[in-house]
Amino acid sequence: MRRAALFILFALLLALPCRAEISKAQSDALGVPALEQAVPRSAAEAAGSLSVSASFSVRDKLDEIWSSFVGDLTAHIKSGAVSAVSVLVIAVVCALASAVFDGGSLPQYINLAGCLAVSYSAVGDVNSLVSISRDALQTLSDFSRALLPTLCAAAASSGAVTSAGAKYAATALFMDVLITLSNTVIVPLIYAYIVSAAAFSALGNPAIGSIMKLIKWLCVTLMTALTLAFTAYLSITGAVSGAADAAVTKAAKATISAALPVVGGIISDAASSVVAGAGLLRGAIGAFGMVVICAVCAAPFAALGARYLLYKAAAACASALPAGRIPELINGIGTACGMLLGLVGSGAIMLFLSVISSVKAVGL
Amino acid sequence: MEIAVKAALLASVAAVGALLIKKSNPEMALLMAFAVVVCVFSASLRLFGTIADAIDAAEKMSGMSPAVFAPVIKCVGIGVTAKICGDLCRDASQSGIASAVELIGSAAAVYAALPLVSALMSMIGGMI
Repeated sequence: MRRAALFILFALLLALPCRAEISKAQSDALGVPALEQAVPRSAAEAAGSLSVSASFSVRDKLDEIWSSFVGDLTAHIKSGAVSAVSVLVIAVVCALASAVFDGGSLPQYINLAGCLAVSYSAVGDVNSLVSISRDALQTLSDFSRALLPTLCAAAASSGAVTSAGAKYAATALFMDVLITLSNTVIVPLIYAYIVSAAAFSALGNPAIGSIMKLIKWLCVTLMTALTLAFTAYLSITGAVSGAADAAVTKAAKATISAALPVVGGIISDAASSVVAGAGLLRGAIGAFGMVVICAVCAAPFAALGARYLLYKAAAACASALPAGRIPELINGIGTACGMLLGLVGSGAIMLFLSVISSVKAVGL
Repeated sequence: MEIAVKAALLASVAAVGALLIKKSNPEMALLMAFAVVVCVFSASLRLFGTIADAIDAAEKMSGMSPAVFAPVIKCVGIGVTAKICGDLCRDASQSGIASAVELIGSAAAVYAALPLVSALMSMIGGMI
């Protein structure tokens, strides 16, 4: 009777619903609460409240970020349209004036005044965009300092001991390099690009045009090379250390099982359960990190994307007018906005790759 | 449309008239040309007023500072005046004076654009 009662009790226990949950002790030990507190204010505004949990709905958060992005984009298009209309009005006036002349040096001076006015009204705008880009990169870097150690600890406790550390070190190094390069080389180069675009359109010297092309090539190549180098480094590190981690984990399991008969198998299985729990936490931290990165980038992408599209559209409209080289200048300002977009995009893509790589644990 | 047709007719008649009297009395031909220019300009003032209103509305809509736009308008005005004056001088076979007028026009246009240059320079200096 007693045996039958125990059997029924165990049978009932086995029939209880099972749900994957993250252990609070494990999450505290890995520093998840500190990570949740490190969420930037801009991300919290875009995505609402964020927390690391197994029930964290990425889709809902991405929907919220998308709504916030669309709202920001609309607002930036409305405010950016003012700058675009300003430069178009100047182009129209210069086009009207150039219709009077059939040559000579006077149209050049009108073109010069037009280019100076366009540069003056656009440079302030670009300066605010540079601040937005710098802030976004700094925010990403600050958040990565909280995210990557936690993710690295979670990955290490789920078996990726060597690869997690290597990936963390690589990401921290490359993010630092990107920010240093952005502050010391890329942003000054973007300013130089705008100044040379203004000089080229005002003076029409082909040598300045070549300098413009060179600066653009330098900026794009620097950002692409850094991102490619990071991806290659992460791939190689992931492939080498991931295989080493897999071999070490397998060897440890086999050793425990063989060294301690019967109990060794139980310990090995229990360790596997702990590792699986850490894997669940690693996935949740990864999803949380990616959502925060998206939320951080939403507002800068909206501001930069809106200005990029508006200046390119204004350049297309102005090129239909006989406004000298003013359309080229407007196009150049749009290109500068595109380069800033690329700069923020490089930072975001590097963090994304790092998070994906750490969550995937093996390979890239 | 109406103003443009009237101006074109007046200019054509004046050009033919000036051509006829140029051999016997070139001074009168030049004065006639000058008078026609003044007449055409006076007639087109209403047109320019409408264009100026449109530009003003666009300027207000874009929220652009008058400090940015005024030098451009000044340059356009200087350019148009210097061009017409230079052409009149060439009609009077005074190429030297025409060149001088155009030179002073160019210098005046650069002078009008100088506030923009200094503002742009200080803005770029502040950024770097």
